[in-house]
Amino acid sequence: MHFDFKKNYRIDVRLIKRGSQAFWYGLLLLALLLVPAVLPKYFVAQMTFILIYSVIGTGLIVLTGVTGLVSLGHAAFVAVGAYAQAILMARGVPLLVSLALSAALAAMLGLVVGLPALRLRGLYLAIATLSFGFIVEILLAHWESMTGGNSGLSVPTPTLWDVAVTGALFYYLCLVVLVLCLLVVLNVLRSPTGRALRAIRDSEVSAQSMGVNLALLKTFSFVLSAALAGLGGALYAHVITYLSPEQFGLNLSIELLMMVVIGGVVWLQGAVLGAVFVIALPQAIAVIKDYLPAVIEQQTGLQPIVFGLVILFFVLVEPTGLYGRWIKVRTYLELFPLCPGSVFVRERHFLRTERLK
Amino acid sequence: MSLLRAEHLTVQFGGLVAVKDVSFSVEPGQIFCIIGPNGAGKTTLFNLFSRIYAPSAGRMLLDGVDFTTLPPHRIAQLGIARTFQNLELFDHATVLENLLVGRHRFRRHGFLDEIWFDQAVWQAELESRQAVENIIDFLDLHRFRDTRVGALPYGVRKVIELGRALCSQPRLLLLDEPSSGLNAEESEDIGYWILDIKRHFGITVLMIEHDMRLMGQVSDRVLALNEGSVLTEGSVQEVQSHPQVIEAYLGVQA
Repeated sequence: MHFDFKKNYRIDVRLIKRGSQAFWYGLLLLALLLVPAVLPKYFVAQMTFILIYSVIGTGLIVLTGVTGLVSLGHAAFVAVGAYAQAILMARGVPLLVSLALSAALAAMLGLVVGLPALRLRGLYLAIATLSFGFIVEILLAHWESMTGGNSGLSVPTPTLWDVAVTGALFYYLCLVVLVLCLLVVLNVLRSPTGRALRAIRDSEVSAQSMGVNLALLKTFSFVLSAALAGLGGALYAHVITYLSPEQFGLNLSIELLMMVVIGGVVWLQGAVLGAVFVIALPQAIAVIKDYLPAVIEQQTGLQPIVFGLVILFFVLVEPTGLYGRWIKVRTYLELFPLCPGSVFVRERHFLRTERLK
Repeated sequence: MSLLRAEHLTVQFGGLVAVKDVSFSVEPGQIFCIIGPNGAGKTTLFNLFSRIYAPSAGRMLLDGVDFTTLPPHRIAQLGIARTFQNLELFDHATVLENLLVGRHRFRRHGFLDEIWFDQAVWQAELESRQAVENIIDFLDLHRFRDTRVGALPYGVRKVIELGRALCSQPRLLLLDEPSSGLNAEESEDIGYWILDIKRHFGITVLMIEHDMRLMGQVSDRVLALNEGSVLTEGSVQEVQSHPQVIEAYLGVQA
């Protein structure tokens, strides 16, 4: 059990609150740096996927977990990032520049989607973003001169100063990008903007009457989220090396949303944990499959069914996701053996009041 | 010059006239109380001042500045802060964070500065914190600082909402039924705080109140509304003894 003895206001603004936190995150970073040296190639590739998904998830958490806006069309931003990266690289734009441009292009698209989305909320916003996702998918399939249509588009090997960035090097690139993205989002979240975004999620009316410009901040949230998705998409393009529109359909959007819900939608850690989960689960299923009776083993839809069950489980039993569960476990261990069972009983609200809409 | 002037305000929702030709003015340093039975249009009037609704006719001026058509998020910058009848707090955030949102109108850095989070942003954050701590001192909220608002009892949340409005250092504070849902002791505390707000911070208060005791304790001037129009305006005694007010509240003597 630790007590934070606060001696000045800086402690509440700092990113790292106490020494033990610095130690553990430092250790994690060190372990991540050592991954290519220690683990076989296959694992490095899987870890790269996790890093990329984390970048996209971070953006989605800003939009959904922090601002409270649902997007069922996030795959479209990923797609735009990926296609932009492939096309720009093919035209000889340097890697880092094209990454930035892909993110910027997705951000601009986020602006375009964000503006009409300002008037919508809840289910209606979900449907609007959903149809936006379809539109982008169809556009990619039909704009053949640019995207290669349904026959697909191959992505050039990334090079940086004439060195091919593949394998371990690409893993490091993704790691650097993820760390930078996390820093950007952390800074946004601890500044007045971040507080305003959370305020919008909890009560738009009072946020507005405190001087929060709803239109501006919701747009900002959309743009930031889209930029991160685009950046993630640009990296993703290099991993899958061959792009076709159906890879960026509704399935991916739902997978992304599922990822942040499972990870824990209100914490940035949730993006990373969710990414680990989404990447690791198919592997786990593949391993377990060998031990299952032949009837189940030969079913084709095993993976979607398990995914569906998992998300049902989280929504019903642990809406705070993996990171929320981890906080509970940690608190239990810190207080052991004095932790009363009632600490994490879910609150029930008896007060129902009319709120302004 | 009066701080707030309402001139012939009218609000129509379809066929329903919620507020009908209401005019009054609040002088600087006053505690101005609006009373009236349910559905008299008191909260509608507040929603006009915070521009959640637009008036169908009439004008509103703060210190001579017409804000009838100002967008809602600019109202705070003008110096008007409000509380809500049914609490509109940010339930998933801590008390400290709720109060810090009250400082939003003093935000002076752009998105890029905040992403970079340089010394100037740090400085602004520490200043906001200092201002918030002053309000925490004033309202005695120390022990709730890091508690999530949703987990706190109603009475405390009511005070936090008052605190959040104070954090924006308004010129005019709109309080929508500050004592509703509170016990006798808590509403007495609120009464003293309202008096202190006027005395220490020099903030003008416009409030809606049903509790006649609290109203008598703090108000300098009272406006009585019924069915959207003004019944009478005057001192506490004048309004309380006005025959039409008694009629609106208690009905006509048979």
